[in-house]
Amino acid sequence: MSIPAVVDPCDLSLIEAATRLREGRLTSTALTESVLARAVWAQARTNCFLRLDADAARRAAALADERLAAARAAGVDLAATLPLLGVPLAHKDMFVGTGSSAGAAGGLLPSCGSRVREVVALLAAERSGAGMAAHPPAATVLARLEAAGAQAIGALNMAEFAFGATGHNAAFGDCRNAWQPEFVAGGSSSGSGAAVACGATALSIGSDTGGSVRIPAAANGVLGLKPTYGLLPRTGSMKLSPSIDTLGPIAHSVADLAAVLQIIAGADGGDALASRRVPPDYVASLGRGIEGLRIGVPRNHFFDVATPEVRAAMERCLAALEGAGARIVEVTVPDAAPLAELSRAVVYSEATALHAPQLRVEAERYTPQVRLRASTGLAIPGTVYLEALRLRLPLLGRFVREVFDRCDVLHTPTLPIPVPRRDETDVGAGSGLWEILAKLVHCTAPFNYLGLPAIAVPAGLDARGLPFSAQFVARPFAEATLLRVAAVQQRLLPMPRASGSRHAS
Amino acid sequence: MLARLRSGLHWNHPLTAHRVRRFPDMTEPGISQEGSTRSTRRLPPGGPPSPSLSTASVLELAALAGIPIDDEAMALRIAVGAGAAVTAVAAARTALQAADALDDALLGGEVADHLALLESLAGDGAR
Repeated sequence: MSIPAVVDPCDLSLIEAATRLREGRLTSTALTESVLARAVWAQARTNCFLRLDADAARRAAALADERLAAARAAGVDLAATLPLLGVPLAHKDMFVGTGSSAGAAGGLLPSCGSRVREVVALLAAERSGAGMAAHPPAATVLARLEAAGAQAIGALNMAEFAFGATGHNAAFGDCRNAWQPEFVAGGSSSGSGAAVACGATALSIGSDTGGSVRIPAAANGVLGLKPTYGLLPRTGSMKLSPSIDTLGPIAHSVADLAAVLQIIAGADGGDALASRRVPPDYVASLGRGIEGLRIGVPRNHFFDVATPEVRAAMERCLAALEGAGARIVEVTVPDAAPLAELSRAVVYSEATALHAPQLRVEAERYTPQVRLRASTGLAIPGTVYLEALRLRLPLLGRFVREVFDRCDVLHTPTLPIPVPRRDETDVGAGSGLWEILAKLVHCTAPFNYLGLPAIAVPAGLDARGLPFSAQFVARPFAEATLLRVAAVQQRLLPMPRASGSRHAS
Repeated sequence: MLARLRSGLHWNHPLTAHRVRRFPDMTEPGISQEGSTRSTRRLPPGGPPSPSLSTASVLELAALAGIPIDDEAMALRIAVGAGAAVTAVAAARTALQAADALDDALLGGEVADHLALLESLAGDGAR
């Protein structure tokens, strides 16, 4: 007779934890204590938190337990109205709080991973206190999660102003890889990737402008979804490049991604560039399988810089998916090579415009690499910036026609190289630094520019014990298809937890 | 271009509005014989070489914008980073064929149409 493994509550998936809470098989207090204990462990290992408000988390948990008990006593099922009641979560520190939660919330302005923001926040508080300025609006995605019953308990580390792909942060300390701390966590949502991998939060919202959700998800062996541009409203979130920025969830479980996407997707009236399309039923699509689904493998660009071990991992992935009924087809991807640089033309231009007021008065408070990136738009003519945006329309049309007429999803590695060490990607690492940085976004940035949805899915461990990750890309607003593929891959290639605990959902 | 408009310019999509029906008087897609030097077609793969700004120019631009630059080394890094982006835009412009570009710019979709284009291309008809 086998003895069932004892599962730490913090290792439960979001959906499983929420279900147990509603059914009275778990209390929010017990779950929160488990999460807080794991957060302390994760912080020591990875430096993934910038703020953790344990007292507020405990107060919120006690309140949630009262509401859960009252609902059970009254025979009310909260699954539809408060599906996440009692669940503690933590997110990238780039969201304006709702005023009623801890950490990134609590009415605080986010640090955005920068010391520059300390001054900005102070000034904003002074203005607000003097009645001179209103707070910026709370982040819609956080407000929607809170309305569903989730409680923000802290704010997670990130690259300064989300402007970096490795997780280095000279202002608050680097966020380290959850599997092996001498390796990068990936960025810019570094804390989100590491915290989810450690079990310190079941899910975390990050942002993705060049791969910032997918890269840390890949480096830490968890799932990261970059939705179609415009699916998630960005009201109350830090801007890096508004023409390209997307928010996205990172989690262990595909079902959690689907459930949370259902909650946070859709226009809010505040973000003028949020789509008014009605989101489909993401959860219902998960069980459809992938029989007959055409998975496209690019002949060009995306595997050009992939190492042999990454190629082998992707082949194992494809073999597993083919065994589950998918059809593998080769595709040639149009205009692939310049897409990442086109993205940079837009991002640098917009970032410099956004940061110019701050750079003028306190450039020295930026970390050197971010200051350099935030200043690069100075040398990009406005005509070139606008041309980069204008070229996006025909490039997108051609890409969708030529790729997605031939396949339903495109498959690439998320990272074409094994997860690099922190020292080889740090300032002063030498000439190889730029090459590694370029490779980190080689497969991700093109889809930011085009605005297409993409998901990073764990694909096993390398010989060093660090994760591989496969990326799947689909037509605009075809997130449900991506989640279907990810669900099958997660079932066929289950991933252990960085914390040593097994996924339990 | 007016002649082409009068002769029945055809958009195959209301938003992108950038694909011209191929007329007999065109020897290559999107390029009219009339008035075209076709010089862009002879450019090397990857687009025309884009002259990087000099560090002095970067420093002048920074001064105009009021953004401090530490030294020439920082200016050089900015010039290199910006130069790569400028080159990529030129390459993409070439890949899309320059002769279409004027039509696109004057008659095609607006920059702000990106979301509308994404919505029009949406589809979850995966089998």
